[in-house]
Amino acid sequence: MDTTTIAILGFAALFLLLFIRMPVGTAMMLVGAGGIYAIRPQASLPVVAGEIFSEASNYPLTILPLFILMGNLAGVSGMSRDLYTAAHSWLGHMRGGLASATIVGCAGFSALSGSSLAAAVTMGRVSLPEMQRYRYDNGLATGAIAAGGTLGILIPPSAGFVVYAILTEESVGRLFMAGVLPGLMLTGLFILAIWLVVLRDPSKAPQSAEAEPMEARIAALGRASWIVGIILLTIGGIYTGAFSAVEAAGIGALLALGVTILRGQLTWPNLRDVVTNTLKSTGTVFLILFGAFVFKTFVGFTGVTYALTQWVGAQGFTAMQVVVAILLAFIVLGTFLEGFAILVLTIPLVQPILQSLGVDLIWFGVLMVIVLEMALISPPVGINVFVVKGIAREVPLGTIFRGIWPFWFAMLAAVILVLLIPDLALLLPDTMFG
Amino acid sequence: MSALPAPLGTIERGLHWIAGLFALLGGLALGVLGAVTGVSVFWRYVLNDPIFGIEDVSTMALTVVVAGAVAYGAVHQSHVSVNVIKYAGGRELTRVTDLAARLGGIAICSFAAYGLLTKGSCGLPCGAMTSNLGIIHTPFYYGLAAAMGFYAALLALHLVIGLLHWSGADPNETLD
Repeated sequence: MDTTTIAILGFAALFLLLFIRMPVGTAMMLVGAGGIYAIRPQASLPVVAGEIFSEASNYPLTILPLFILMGNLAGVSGMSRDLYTAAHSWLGHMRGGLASATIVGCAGFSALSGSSLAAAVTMGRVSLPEMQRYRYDNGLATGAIAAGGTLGILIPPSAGFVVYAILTEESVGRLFMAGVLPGLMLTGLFILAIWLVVLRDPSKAPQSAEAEPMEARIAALGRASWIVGIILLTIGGIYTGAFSAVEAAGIGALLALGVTILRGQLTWPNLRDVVTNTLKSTGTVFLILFGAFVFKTFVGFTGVTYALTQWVGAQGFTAMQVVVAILLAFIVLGTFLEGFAILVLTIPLVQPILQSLGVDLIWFGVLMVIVLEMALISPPVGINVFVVKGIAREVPLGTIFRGIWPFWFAMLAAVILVLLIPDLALLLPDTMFG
Repeated sequence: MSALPAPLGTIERGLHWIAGLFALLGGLALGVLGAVTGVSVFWRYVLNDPIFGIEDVSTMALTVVVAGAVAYGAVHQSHVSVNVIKYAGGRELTRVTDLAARLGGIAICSFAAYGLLTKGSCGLPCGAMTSNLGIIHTPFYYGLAAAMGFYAALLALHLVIGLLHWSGADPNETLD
């Protein structure tokens, strides 16, 4: 059997295993190990063991548990609530302001945690009761939480960027910086989407909170200064070159721990929750990474990427045409595959093609992460929607999915803007790294 | 935990206890990782005296965190799977596909554990040590092998429990 046929069978087997609910990491590892065995039997065992150990001891990946730890500490210390309270204080009196405050809260929390699920759960628990109290439409309220949570993988620190950087051997720091402006832009687009929804149908946000006096707003902002300070120190430290991304993660986690202790929140139950939640999230990402690297090695053995690159070159497609086609394929994949699964499944295939066309992989990484965000809320498997459903048990799933559409189109607008204006992604990393 | 016949219940409790041990070790290593990173930043920027080889300690601590995380995550079904099959069929279909998925999982996790044990056992003669401090990789390979072996054992237990619940609801079925 030739290697191209083995590659095709490998991809078919992988989709079958994913369909039967085999975890993404083990499915990729199984297909990768089996595929390598079919091509070079003696390499299979050392590749599996070697890739697992390499990723588990990969220094740049120490970012992941440390940033996840920082996000979890921010949750138990009350810093995330402070952030929502401050946003609520400044925006709550505006029409649709509570939903906008949720988005701002999610954006802020995303700057402290690389997980979209953590952002959706943490902010959802705080903001949903408030929006329901002011009779917000369930679709708008839950849609804002689900969509706001997705900012977690765009605004640095982002687990999505770390995994992309490891797979493509790009700089984590550059990718983190590249996510800042698109993250802020997407936050603005989400707020614009809320404003348009409420403008079109005011019954979706019939009441607003009382406008708070300026002293109360400033006091709320003051309480949020801990979290803002940590964000500025970590992200600012990376931007100015004072810290590497790993060092920023360590400092951020230690500062978050310090705030938790100062606030008297480092109780045994809180500590246990923080550690176990950090381990669960870390385990999720690393098992996927193990599988991804074994699978990537298998794809390399088949040489199918070379054949694909040659084929794309022979067709005379431009870089932009190929990028748009890949992004459209990701959007379709996002309707039935989980975001991380798309990332680790497709990067080994598309990276060589993009490199042969001279596409900037930092720019493409930002585009890809926004598209993965779309996958997080796309029916029928949008994982953030199910997370929000876990918080809003009385709201039907269909209502939540209907509520996410304005945000989905906001993300599409962000993709188009970053496609047309690459500097939105590249300005900060180019300014910083040259 | 589900109500199971005595031997399986004991095995399930035993695996949860071991998962707790993995979590404890992973949690301690997480603390070491955070502390080491903080100390290295302090020494580098405040005392202007970088600590030689501290990255080696970080990377080895990371392997312990990862081993603990993979094993503990397995018990709590944190490992991401794509649940679209629920739209294609009910329990009649998923009891068969879950059986196949678990068998595949047991095979690859056992294979990975065996590979890690074999590769790790070579140690110093194979040059398997950190580049600066010369920390031998062997115990860390074994830790990862234990995590993968644990995952295989857990899947084997879930497979048996799934067979025992063939006509009813499977307590370990993947949920959204």
